[in-house]
Amino acid sequence: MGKYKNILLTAAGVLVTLSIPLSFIFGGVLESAVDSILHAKNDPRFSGGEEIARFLDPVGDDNGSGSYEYPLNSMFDSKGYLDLVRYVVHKPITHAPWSDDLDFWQLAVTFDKTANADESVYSFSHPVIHIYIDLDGKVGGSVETVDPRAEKIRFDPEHPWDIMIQLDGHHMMGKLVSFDGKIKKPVRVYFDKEKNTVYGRIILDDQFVKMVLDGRKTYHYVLIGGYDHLGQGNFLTVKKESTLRTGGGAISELSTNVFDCLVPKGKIQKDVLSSFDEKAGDFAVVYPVEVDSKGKSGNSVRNDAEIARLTALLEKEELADRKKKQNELPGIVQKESPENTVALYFHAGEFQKAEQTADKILLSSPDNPIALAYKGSLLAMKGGKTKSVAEAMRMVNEGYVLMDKAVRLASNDVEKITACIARGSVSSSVPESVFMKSVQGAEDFSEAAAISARLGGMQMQTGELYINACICLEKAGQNDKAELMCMRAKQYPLSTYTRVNLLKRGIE
Amino acid sequence: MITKNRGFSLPTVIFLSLLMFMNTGLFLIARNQGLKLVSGALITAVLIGIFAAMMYTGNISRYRRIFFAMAAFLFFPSFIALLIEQRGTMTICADTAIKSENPMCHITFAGITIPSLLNQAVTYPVKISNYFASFYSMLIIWIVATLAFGRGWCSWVCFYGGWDDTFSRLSKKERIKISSKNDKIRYFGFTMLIFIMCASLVTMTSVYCEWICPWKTITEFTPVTGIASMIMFTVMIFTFFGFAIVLPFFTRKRFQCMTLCPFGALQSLVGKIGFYKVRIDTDKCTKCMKCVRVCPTMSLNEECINEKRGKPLITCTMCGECISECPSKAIDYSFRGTKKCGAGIFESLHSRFASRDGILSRIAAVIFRSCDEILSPRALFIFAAFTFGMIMSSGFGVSTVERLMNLFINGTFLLK
Amino acid sequence: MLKEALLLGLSTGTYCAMFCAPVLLPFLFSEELNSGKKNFKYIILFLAGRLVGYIAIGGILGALGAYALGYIDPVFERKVSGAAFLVIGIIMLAAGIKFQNAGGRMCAAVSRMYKPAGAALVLGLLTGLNLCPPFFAAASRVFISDGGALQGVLYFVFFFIGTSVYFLPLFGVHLIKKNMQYVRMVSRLAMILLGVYFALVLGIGRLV
Repeated sequence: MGKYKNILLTAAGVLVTLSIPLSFIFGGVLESAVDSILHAKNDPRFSGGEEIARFLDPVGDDNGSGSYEYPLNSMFDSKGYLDLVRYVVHKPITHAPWSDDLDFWQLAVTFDKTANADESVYSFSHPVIHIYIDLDGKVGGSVETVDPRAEKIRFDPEHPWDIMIQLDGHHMMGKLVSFDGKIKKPVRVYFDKEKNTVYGRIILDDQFVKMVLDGRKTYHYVLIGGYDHLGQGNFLTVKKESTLRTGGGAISELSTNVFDCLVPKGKIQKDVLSSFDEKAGDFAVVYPVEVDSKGKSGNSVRNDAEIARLTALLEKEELADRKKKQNELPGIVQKESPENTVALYFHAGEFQKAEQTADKILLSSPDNPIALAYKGSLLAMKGGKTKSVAEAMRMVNEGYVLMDKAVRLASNDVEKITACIARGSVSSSVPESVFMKSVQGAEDFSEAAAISARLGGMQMQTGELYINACICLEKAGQNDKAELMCMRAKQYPLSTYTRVNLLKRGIE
Repeated sequence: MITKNRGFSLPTVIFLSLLMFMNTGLFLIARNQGLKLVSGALITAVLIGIFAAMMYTGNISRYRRIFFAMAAFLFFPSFIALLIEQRGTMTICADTAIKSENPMCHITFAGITIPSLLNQAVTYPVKISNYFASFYSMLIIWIVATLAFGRGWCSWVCFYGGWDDTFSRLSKKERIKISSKNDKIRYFGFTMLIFIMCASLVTMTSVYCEWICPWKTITEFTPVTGIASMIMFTVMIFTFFGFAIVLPFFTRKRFQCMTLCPFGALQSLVGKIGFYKVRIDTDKCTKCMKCVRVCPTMSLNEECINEKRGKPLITCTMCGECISECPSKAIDYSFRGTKKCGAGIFESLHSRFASRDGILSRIAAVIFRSCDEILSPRALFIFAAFTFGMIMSSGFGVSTVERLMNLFINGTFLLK
Repeated sequence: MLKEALLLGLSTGTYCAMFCAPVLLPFLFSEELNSGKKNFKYIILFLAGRLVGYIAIGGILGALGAYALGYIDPVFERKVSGAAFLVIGIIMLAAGIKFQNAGGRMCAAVSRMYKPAGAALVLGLLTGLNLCPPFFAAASRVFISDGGALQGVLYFVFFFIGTSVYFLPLFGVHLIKKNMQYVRMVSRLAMILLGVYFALVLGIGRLV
């Protein structure tokens, strides 16, 4: 064999051998590269069919007509258990593989929080979900609920319901009934604890229900109440005052028992649920959301013009803010504590001075969480600007050591919020495929947001922190959870930054 | 230059073992703490011992078998434990499909590649990325392995192959003789591949996983809820015990890998682009046919030896049995693009210094000889294949040992 | 509307390939294709069978119109497809057994009854009856248009022409010469496995 060919082949052999451990070490980078070519996605037949409608409901509106409170018993130890945040309708599917049923129609309801408080079958003991669907327009149907004393509402006469589905965590199967009582059948229930999502699968073995296969428009009412196994229609009653067994905040006998519901665009939940007529003795009228299986329906809209305008505005605001901080710096630095000085220098973009100040603090107090947080963050930023990959990794890892210590040692709200924001900011900037810190970053931002909300004060910051948590979760591929962070951000006054990011995700 | 007894010289073995230690340490020890650190160190020590013995004695087949068996039998306990921790059960439920978070098995590629390309979506409920056994990670692993050594996967990497490999060596003699002329058995794996590809294309799911795979017995399987799932369960048990244990024992052949596994057949085809090959030096070959008798996948027959083809059949898994068995040392690993087994690039330098007197010349001779050995196709191949197998399966091995230690200390095999 | 049918066939033809290729390819590879003529003959017979199937369905659906909507549902579709797969499976099993020369009266009887040309035609017809998603898209257009049997037939003929483009590469199958004896042996064995799978799992499994 020729000498040069031998050398070439040997060199190739060495390369091939080395490529094996390297392909595992840089697997994350390779995955990103492969994704940029393939954009692989899962076959929707496994997860219940293609999504045809996605509705987002505001976080924190599990208060019915505005004043409702949870029952006083220990099961309801925090808000969020009856808070509907997302409703997804899938396309009816036939010949589904890896499924208990071949032909079904899947609906998915996501809550802000779920828990198994009473050893229920599924780990979502608190809510009962009633979904009323108009399948055929005004042809047939009812405007009254199955049990008038359960939800205590009426339906829009333009869309009388044809089938009702009840899902709760206390029965193996949900149930479906038709408006005339002729159809009564079980609905298969699945629950994803990580996503706080309940899936109901309506089995398509009945001629009437099967009509959804022709791709028609349907109209959905989604009503959430508290589960009470002794209550009318299993709905927890809401009275004037909360007790151990009842919710509170109702202002009339006609007040609804619904804690949260989906409302179409242009309507507000508390107006809809408080629209009962005391004189006539009529319950409040609720309105459905439209689901069109031919296109993507829902309440996610992307307004590109508005996004562009707000993005330009944001750039201007950030530039102005930085200039203002730089101008004010000399005047206030002398009067501030060393920790505040680090923060001021950092946010004004004077990173060298910030680092010097942090180093000074750490000389005398090596366990100062604020100094550690900023020092770690600055180190990681420096690593990000280095050309050498090995050096960059070393510096970022060192930065994390300091920031982890800061988070661990933080003992008050200010220290905690500073440490969490510093670490979260770095996590949202470093490559996920190498460091895999996005989920931790999201947790940091969430915690910081929770502290910020508790402290009151800069409420716009709280929204921004939730947006940053959303960005981190998107990096980690957890888009469903990321969306919920956006909904949390919406509860607070919206800064330009928050508004831009919400609009980019189709959330108005 | 490889010595007569096929083992490498001591300096070479020491150098390569140190490199392998760094390799293994990076993947099995670094960033671990507590019990995991201890188990990682244990597994590393055992692996380095096996690797060093393989390189020093030159008996590739024996030590590869030990390594391969270790990988297979340490893999499944921690995999099952992981499933139970994550979802509470070994069975696949509709929940698992809804979340599309199944771990991706390499065998699935045989059935889902073409349907997924046509469907523009992966026809298996697997996590696409950000997971140890995601679609992307397994795809990258598959591509790298194919480019490196094609079907060598089946004897060095596959964490299932160790089962029928081990049982095929337990019996001293063939109790059921299979003729090396039996093409139907030899190529039945390709029949399975065509069947799986066609059936998966029609149903747009992985038919092998649903109906045939024997390895579900030690990983995850569909619960028995009706007639179809009862048949699936029965087939699974039958193929596992029949093809992976009983038939290998009686025939001394890797029956499962040879006849049932569509991935192995796929690797035989796509692995033609692999860099490392097995070559037969037809000048040295005395046509004794020992290699034909010992090959566990019937990848050598009298025809290819008599016709002096210089290489085994397409189904060769590069296990090294024929290399260890050949009395005239005619078979060895080689680079692609060569008909003969590789000759050292430092051979002339080694010879020049070896013929001189003086301590410096001797040292130089030793160094060049070691360089020659280290850069030989055999050393490079074994290092590559061992590294790959180590990374793929030993993580689970570490986890199993850690769990065993946890069982003794805390009374539970589960870590969460 | 006919232009739409052609475009529908062209755009969804890969689906047809997915359903037809697993039946046609093993069949072609298992036969002794010494010349392009034989290959051409089998493919044309297969396509002719598909065309007959499409014409029949087009006519029936066109005649029934919207009335059929109430009856064409997943369960009905599965039964039709199950029956088709059962027969496809039996034919493929017969073809595979015939080639094994296993001896015995059963095998000899099967060998005598089995005729490749007839098998190609029947396989094409049955594969055509396999109701796949693009087929339903075509069918629902025919229902809605309510244009009668002739329009239904024409619609499906043009749909068929659109999908058949994807079969063109198969006319070169006979040019594969390398290792053909192994490809043939493996295809013949695969026909048996596919026959059992189609007949039992996709056939009887869907009918029961």
